[in-house]
Amino acid sequence: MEMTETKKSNKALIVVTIILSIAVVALGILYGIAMSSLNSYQTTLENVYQKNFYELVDQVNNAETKLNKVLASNSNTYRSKLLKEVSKNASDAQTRLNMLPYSINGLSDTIAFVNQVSGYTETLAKNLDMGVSISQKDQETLEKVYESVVNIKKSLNSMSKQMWEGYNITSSSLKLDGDYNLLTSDMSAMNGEDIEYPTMIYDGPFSDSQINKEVNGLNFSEVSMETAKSNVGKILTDISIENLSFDGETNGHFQTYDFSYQDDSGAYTFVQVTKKGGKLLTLSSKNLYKTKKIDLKSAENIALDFAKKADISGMKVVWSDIVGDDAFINLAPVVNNVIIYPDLVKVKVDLAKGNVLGFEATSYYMNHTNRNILPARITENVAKSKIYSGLYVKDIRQALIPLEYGQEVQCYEFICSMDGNTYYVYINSLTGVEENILKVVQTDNGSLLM
Amino acid sequence: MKKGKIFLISFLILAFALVGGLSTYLMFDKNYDVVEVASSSTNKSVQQKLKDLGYYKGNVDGIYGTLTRQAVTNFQRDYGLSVDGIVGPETLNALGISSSTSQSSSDLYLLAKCVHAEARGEPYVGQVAVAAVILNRVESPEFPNTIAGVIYQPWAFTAVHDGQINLEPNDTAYQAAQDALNGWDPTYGCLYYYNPVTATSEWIYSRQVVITIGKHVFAI
Repeated sequence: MEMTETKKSNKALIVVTIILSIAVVALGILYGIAMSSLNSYQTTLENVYQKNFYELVDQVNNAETKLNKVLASNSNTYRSKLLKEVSKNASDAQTRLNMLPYSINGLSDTIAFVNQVSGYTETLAKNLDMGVSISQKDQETLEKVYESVVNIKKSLNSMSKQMWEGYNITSSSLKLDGDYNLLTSDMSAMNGEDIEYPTMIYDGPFSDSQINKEVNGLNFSEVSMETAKSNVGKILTDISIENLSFDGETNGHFQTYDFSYQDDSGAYTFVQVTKKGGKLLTLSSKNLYKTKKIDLKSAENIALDFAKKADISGMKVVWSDIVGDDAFINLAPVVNNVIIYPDLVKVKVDLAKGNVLGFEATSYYMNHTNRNILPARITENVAKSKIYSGLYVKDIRQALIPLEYGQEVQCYEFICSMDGNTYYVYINSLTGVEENILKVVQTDNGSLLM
Repeated sequence: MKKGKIFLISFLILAFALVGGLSTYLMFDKNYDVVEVASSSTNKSVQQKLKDLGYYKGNVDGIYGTLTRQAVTNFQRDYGLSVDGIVGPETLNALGISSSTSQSSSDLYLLAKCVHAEARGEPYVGQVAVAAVILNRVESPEFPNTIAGVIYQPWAFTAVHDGQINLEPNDTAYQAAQDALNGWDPTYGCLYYYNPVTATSEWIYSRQVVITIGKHVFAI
């Protein structure tokens, strides 16, 4: 009895051992496969990071040398050429910097500085091309910019030495606590606490003047939440004001009271009303209907009526298009037959019921002032002679257009076609200079002006 | 007998380990499936169309299962297409579904993907706001200067990091992205947002809060 039991258990033992061995071997193989593919992914990733890092070092080194030459040069043409190169270097450096995996807020000062160097040098080069020499103040700023770039270079060079000793960006980039990782602290020598970054005053890309734009069109006194609410009731006549709930306030560039309501179909609409003047600033809602029952023309009239109710009158439709089941309509004021493009109001209308689903008047209230519109100094025909001869002019209007950095110019707007494409060409109506060209680009999501 | 029991138990433990290891391995391998789900919205429109035409009897769930395959095969046979059960451009055309978006809308697509991944449970305006934050970052000197640069900036968005970005955006996300590209910005220039319940970064709380929409706090 005992014998047979031992025999039996021996048999079981052998079977179990074999199964166990197979299991262990199988697990080992699986683990091996997993690890080797993991390793190869990690290496690929690390190589991408290293490439970015070394290209960053290159760009910063180049920018440093060229900036130094700018300081030593006395020729405006050569300085302009160098500054354009510095701008390109800085822009490329920014791209590389933003591809390294430090925490999102880790190097924001450095990135802002690099971007501003790119915008600042580009603006200086443009000025030089127009015959404006570099001022004493800009010369001093350039010297400070140069010093900061030298410091970034030093800190990158010491990082490079670590790289040569086998520093691994991928493993240093793993999250430790919250967003924080080791790479962030290793690169922190570049951050604003260790390197002083100068303020660059200019009107160009990434300048502070672009970020801190002031609201020009809301010179009204502050109203109460109740007044704001009753103003919404006057505009959205088909909802009862009791259903409008107060959601809080927004305290950004614009200060608003925020409301929302839900209609019987469950559609949720969010409305923001300015504290100053109690004006409707934005309305957003989602289109629930997937049918088109009304045409673009009727939608345009709905948009104009709505703007009037929202206390924005004297508007004209300057652009409209159908995207999906919605009509997007842009309105602008017209003063003495001149379209005021900076004061744009955007309205979105659903094509099933003709409800206004979106209203956006931030540009309008940002820019709207009583402008001094001058009579055109050159005639339509003279302006027409300035545009490219291959363009076929379909329509001519007068317009005030915003240039990139807060400037506004009065222009003739030529709506032209060439090879089946549509272009909007802007010729300054005071100087005859070609200020801008927009092209109508057809996409799956409607046409765009680019 | 006692020994046998011990071995049996250890065998069971290892068998579990094996199953565990295998399933973990397969789970990691499943990453590819997530990418395939990318066409679920197309699948849904295919299922809906087939249902309307009486070919498909199942649920419109975006999952390409046996029922769907059978319906597609029958449809292809009846419409004189090559019968392979695969929804290619020809089949899509025959169903009246446009298959792809043009190149120039890739910004819209990316934006919609990020909005869907980051804020799909949020109210509509909250989704517009998330898209607006991405566009505000493009304009800001502190961030990359392209939509793709901002979305794929390392550690910038959780849903990009964990792969949810590869889910197919729904219609709401598209509308929200479109509105933001048209200039809608309920946050008036915000560069950050966070969910106060799950935010792990202390630093984020130092930013000036502009507005709260749904679960997200938007800050400058």
